[in-house]
Amino acid sequence: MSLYEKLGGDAAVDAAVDIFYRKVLLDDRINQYFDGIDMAGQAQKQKAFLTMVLGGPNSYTGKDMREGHKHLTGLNDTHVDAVIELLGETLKELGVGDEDISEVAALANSVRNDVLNR
Amino acid sequence: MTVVHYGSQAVAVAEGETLLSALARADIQVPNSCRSGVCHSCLMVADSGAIPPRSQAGLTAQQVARNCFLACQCLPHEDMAVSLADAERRYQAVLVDKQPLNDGVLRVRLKTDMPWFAGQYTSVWKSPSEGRSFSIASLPEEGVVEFHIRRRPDGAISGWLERELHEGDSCELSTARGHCFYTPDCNDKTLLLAGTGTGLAPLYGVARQALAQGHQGDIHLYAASGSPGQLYLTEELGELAQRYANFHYHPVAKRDVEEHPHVQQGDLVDVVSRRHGNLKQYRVYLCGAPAMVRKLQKLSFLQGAAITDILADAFETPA
Repeated sequence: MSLYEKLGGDAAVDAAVDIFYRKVLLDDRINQYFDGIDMAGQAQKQKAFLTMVLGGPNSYTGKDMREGHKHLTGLNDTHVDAVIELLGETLKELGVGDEDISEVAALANSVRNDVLNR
Repeated sequence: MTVVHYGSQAVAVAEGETLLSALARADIQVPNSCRSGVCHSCLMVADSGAIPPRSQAGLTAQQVARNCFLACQCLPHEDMAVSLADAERRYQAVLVDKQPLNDGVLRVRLKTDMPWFAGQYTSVWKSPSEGRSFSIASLPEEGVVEFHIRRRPDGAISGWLERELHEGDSCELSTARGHCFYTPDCNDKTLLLAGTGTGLAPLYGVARQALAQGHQGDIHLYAASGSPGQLYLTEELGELAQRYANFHYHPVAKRDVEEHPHVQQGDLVDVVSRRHGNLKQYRVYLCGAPAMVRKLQKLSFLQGAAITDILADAFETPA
């Protein structure tokens, strides 16, 4: 059973996005990249991302991730690290254990090169 | 076997087959990507026929109200007529009447067959290529669409509406769009409606729709302008507040409130965020000036409103 199913599927991911997105907007290391963008559209993208890293049904392609981030100047490993850290905190708040969190972090880490366009 | 109508085509859907693959077999291209109900690329609208509940899982309350569904998750169990969710068509409309609501705002009412929800927007077309979007202030049961038009002497569309389109004249409207409308799933939530200028139009529609459907939670409507004289529908909103104990009208102006004891002075963003600190269990509607909408959208989210409970419509003015 995937973590996606264990957490409760679609509705659980909605709850996770609310927690995760708030953390992102409040984090001065990365929130400049989220200023003035369409929030509903961004939430939908985060939902697709969280669904993917939780092992739910997804249509992840590295191409989308690359296209979606390559216009962001100055993006580097520290920003990806921050996002993975906030993702871990989000899952902890939802009662996910350390072992599962490491697994999710590893999946999130697997898109690092796409996000950083290298 | 069921038959699904798409435009003028009739497509047979086999037992156990998804609508998406049946349409693809008939060479009808529906955008799609994940085919597992996550990406929402294959969003369609059912114009008739029962929608299988599974194909609406994960959609917003507003999408469900519009009869949207995901083609990749849809195993039709009865005949349906469907179209793409962003398909656009035009409807005939006839001007019923127009009336200035104050120096700056004109109320225009049109009779049309177009379906809508109070608070959605549509485009009014002066010619096949020249149109402008306006939000709808009236409820479907009122039988006419009502717009609140900012009066601009040199406005291509507003000037035409004010001076050239007369009672009984026709024009076209396009399919009503947008998600700023009331759905009864938030019946016991507090509604926070905040708008600047003619951003009041959709909010006036949402508030009255909520009251008409017996909304149980409190409803706070904030209408803001530069000076008190620019506010409009103040009497009507005051009367609503008299009539319904759960409806609260909060006029706000940036300046010159001295002779207007009911009008709060200040910036709408500050006034609203100070008065409503914790927005869990709220549904928030924001309409009007883009800078205000974006600021309050972010603040509302950080103050606890779920992202799906914040419905924003920024009025971008054409350059």
